[in-house]
Amino acid sequence: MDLLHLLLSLTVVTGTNFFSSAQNVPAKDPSPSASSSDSDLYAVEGKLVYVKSHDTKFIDGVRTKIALDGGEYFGFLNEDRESFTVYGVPPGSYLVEVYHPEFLFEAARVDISSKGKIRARRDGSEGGAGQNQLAYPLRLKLQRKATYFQAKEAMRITDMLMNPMVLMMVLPLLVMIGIPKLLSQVDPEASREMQSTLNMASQPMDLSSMMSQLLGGGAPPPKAIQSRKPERRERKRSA
Amino acid sequence: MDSQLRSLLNVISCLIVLCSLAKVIQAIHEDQIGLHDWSLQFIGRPIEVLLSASQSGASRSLVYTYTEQNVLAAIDVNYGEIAWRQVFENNANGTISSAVTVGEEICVLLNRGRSLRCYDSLTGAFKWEKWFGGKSGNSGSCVGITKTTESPKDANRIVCANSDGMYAVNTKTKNTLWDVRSPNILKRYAFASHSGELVVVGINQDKLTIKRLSSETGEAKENDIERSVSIDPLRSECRLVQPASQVSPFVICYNAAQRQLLSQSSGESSREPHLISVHELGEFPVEGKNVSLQNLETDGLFSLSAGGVSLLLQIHPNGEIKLVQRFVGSVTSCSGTEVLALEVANKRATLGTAAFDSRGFTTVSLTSEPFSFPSAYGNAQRAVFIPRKDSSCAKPSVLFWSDSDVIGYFTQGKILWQRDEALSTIETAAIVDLPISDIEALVEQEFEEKGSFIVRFTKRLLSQALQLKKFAEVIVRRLQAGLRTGKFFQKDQLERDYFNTHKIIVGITGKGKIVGMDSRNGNILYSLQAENLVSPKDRPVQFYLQRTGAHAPFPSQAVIVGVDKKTGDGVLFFFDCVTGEELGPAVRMNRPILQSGLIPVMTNDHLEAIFVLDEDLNVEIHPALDSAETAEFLTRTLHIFYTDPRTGVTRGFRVKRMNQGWKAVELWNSTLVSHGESVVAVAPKRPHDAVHSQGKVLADRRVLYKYINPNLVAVVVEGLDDVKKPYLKMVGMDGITGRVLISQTYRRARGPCQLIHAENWLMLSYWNEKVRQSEINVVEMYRGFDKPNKTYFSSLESHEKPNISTASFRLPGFVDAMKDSVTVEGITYKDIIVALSSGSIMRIPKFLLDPRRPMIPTQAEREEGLIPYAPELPMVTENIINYYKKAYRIRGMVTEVAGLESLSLVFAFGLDLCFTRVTPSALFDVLSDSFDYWILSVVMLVLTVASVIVRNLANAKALKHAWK
Repeated sequence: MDLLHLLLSLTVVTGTNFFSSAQNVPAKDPSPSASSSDSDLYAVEGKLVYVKSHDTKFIDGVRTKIALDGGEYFGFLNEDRESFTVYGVPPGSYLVEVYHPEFLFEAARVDISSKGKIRARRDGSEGGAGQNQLAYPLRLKLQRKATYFQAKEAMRITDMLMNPMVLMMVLPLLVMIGIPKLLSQVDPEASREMQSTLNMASQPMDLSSMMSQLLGGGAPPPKAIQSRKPERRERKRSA
Repeated sequence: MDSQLRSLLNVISCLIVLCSLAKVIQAIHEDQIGLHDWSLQFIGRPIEVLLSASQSGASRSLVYTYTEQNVLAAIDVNYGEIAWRQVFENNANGTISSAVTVGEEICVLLNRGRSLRCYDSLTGAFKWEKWFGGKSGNSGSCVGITKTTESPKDANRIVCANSDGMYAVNTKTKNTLWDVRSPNILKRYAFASHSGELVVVGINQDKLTIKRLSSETGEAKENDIERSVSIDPLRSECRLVQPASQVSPFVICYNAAQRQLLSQSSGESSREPHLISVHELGEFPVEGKNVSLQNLETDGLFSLSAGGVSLLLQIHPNGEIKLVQRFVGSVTSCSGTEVLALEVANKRATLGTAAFDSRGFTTVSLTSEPFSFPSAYGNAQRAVFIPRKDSSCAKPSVLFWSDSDVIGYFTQGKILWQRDEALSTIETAAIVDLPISDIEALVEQEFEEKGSFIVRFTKRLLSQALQLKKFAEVIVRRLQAGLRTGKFFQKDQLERDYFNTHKIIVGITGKGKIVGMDSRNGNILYSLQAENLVSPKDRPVQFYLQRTGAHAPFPSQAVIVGVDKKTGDGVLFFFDCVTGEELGPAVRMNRPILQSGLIPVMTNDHLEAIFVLDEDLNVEIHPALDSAETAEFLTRTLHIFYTDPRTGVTRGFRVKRMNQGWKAVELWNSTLVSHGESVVAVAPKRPHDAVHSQGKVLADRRVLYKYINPNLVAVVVEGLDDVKKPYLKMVGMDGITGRVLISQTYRRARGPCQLIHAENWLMLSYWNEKVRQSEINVVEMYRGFDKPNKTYFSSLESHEKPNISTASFRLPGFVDAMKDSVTVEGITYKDIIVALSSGSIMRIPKFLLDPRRPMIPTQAEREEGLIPYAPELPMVTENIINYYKKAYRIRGMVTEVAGLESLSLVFAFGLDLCFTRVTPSALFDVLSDSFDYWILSVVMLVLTVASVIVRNLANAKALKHAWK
């Protein structure tokens, strides 16, 4: 699996070359007289990491979009179906997400400094910590295929048999039938001993009482009323 | 080490949440796709339509359009469906200023002319993007060049010009061929003349520059032409038009500021520009917006159109502009010598061909029978001739769109399809009950409890006889209809179904267009236009349902409250929201309106009244409630609450009967905002908010009573603190007394905000600046453990303040809209339905958003069923109610009850529409869809048979035993 990822990343390195002419980003402002709000803009690059197969053929330029901060800036998947570049991003911190109708990818956070240095870190982490740092250009891994639907509950024999209620009734039945037969084959000394213990055990374990307990819901006896007042969670009280 | 521990704890808490979620995940089954839900996709109002550059891939006949909603789409002209679309950023980054088709690609210039994105024209797959950079200019334009003088064929290149320079990109190699940076121009246009020459027009304030460049190298061919003319770059449009004879093309600009047309030869630098005022040419609407200038590519003809009127103009070789003809409609070119005019008169449209020859301009023929062009379409804005195999000037195929955002396609003498893109601009929506069927109405009468039992018995018999008669009538009618159409089982009638899930969705656009849709499939049942009604500046049009369809023989009645397009004064428009008929003339007030709302007073004909408060504090009540009794009731009970979004002043009024009408008297006012703050959201309570239980039962059997104040209004204020960090403030005040009941401040938080107010809780979604993520804050209000000894709530009598418990959660995405689900009795749990900017609409069970969720639960809390607190709300894809169908840019949602307690209907509107249903506590009151009747009956049968057999066997055994 790791080898495959490595191979993929190699192909991507060569694949990005065809975009090289556009890599003159950060695009410097040609006129120094630009107003203060027009700061330099940068490009966020990265690629999606997944195994290309028949299942993932729909990860393509039609359905996939890379969104910064929920769609403030969009990037699209290149024709190699892996790499992407989001252009025209001013310095700041952004959440990078992959929008795809069927597949879920990891999200990442990128911080672009005012000098144009781009760092990536795991989504949801605080800045600065070393171990949450991610490599840049981004590598967003495929997490899973989204499951939107529930499997239909079908009535199956195995389901019915594996039902705890059924098991509870069938297993004692088997024991009741099976044990005496087994006992008849072992030596009479031990069988007598077993018989006595079995008798002792089965006395209170009456089937009918067990059934009634089951059907009665098995409600525990009511507890003694607690006198201690539980703490109420009031975090704030308006003045 | 510490962070490791924290992350471990995080994982554990997530696991716990996921485990507890296992029982709340309930998605639909895969075979239920589209059973109870539908979604419609839109593109918005077109700016321009482009045809495919290569006609080779004629298997699908696509036309391309880019719209004001930042969407690039391909439409299949045979069916009117969207073949593909790309939805760009919903801000200036995604605003498309120009598009070209070159070869197999369609490229759009966007982000103020700084970025060029190219897509495969057949599939819509992204191909490449070019970032030109530069500072943010206004816009730019691109031109595709397929042949030049140097390379006569196959020179696929795109030349773009923005305010920073000119760029040429080879579409095959994706390389920049050349770029010329020359800033200090506000707006640039790139054109290619017929001879393949590149002409770049730059406009600055009071200056027009025309450059002629070589498309190979970008070098200037001749000296630039510079002219000092009075022109406003932001409000002008330019085109390059080739006059009839062999002279160099002219640059024609329409300057909306002065309403002037300007022409300047691009070749002869000695010529001075010609200026002509539009009103000298012909009668032309004053409307400044949506003026379009079109080059007709024929004999120097071009058209200028706005507000449904087109001026067909011609440029003479000497630079003069002359009017050829004025049309009510639109003009398009169809061949080298002929133009096609779509003319609209009396709700009917005709297409005519006109030719230009030595004798002048003559109408050659009417090419179509008049076809219907209803008033709901509005004015014809543009028509574009679609060249196809079966299409010629005599038998044209024309794509047109109107200023009511209807796109239509006319071919072979009829309208083949039409798309109502106005649905993508819905601002207000409601889900309205259908009238009950005639039989149901009779059943209702049957159980009226009046009179002695003999009277009731006879009534019942009579009613049942009537029902039988009605049933027979329905059968006969259905048979007759069946014999006529051949279909015997069709649900043609608009009436309630058994569980009241079939409803009408009423959508109202900002321009006063009202659309009624069938909730089963989204089909448009009616669409009507409220004349001159638009939404007020600071809020959408308000919709009030005054009478439902349940009160036969009265029609259902609804009213929309908007403002007049021209004067800004209030307008009330009454209509039947089931049939879409206008009910009486619209009421036009002579002042702007502040507030409107429903009054819980019903007239004898079951009409609920509404009030409208205008700026002079006059209150108008419709229908007029004049009886002394109601007047007394209103003066006692009607209180009006109004927050001015500009000043932030909140005022409370009560009404007083004056000799002429009603007047509002101010009771209190309070300023919620200080300097630099602004009101971003106001949420009163839903008028009929069903709260089933008055409290929560804790583990020790005590009851924590909810604070349910129907008069509570929440106001959210946004501002900047001393160190320029944003913050939000939420104030909950009593709308009658003006007392501030709760107040919450969110540090380092900013909008966009969504606010929900229901039962005893408030929910606010915002953007947390500090951790840079979307959060949702829940505020629950409780009154304590003491049982209130009243059955009603009065703001004037209760002086207690609620106890608050609050918690924040992180949302898995960016919120576009948020709403809570509603059910008839409020027994069912609530779901919070959140539309995310990724296009997913997700339901979040309310019990996850419970501020009482403890950090480490005690035994009692666990018994109560509280889940441990975790700040993250996990992304559960099963809870995405529109599954893989994405609905983009949702502006709002409406939820409505159905007949079943477990069901809540959801309608989300934005660029796309989505309708579905949610069952927050599963379908507990009906058998589930997966219930297998077949297996059940087989099991029953087997059991019966087995018991019979076993009984016989047992009998036989007993007999045998007895014989022993």
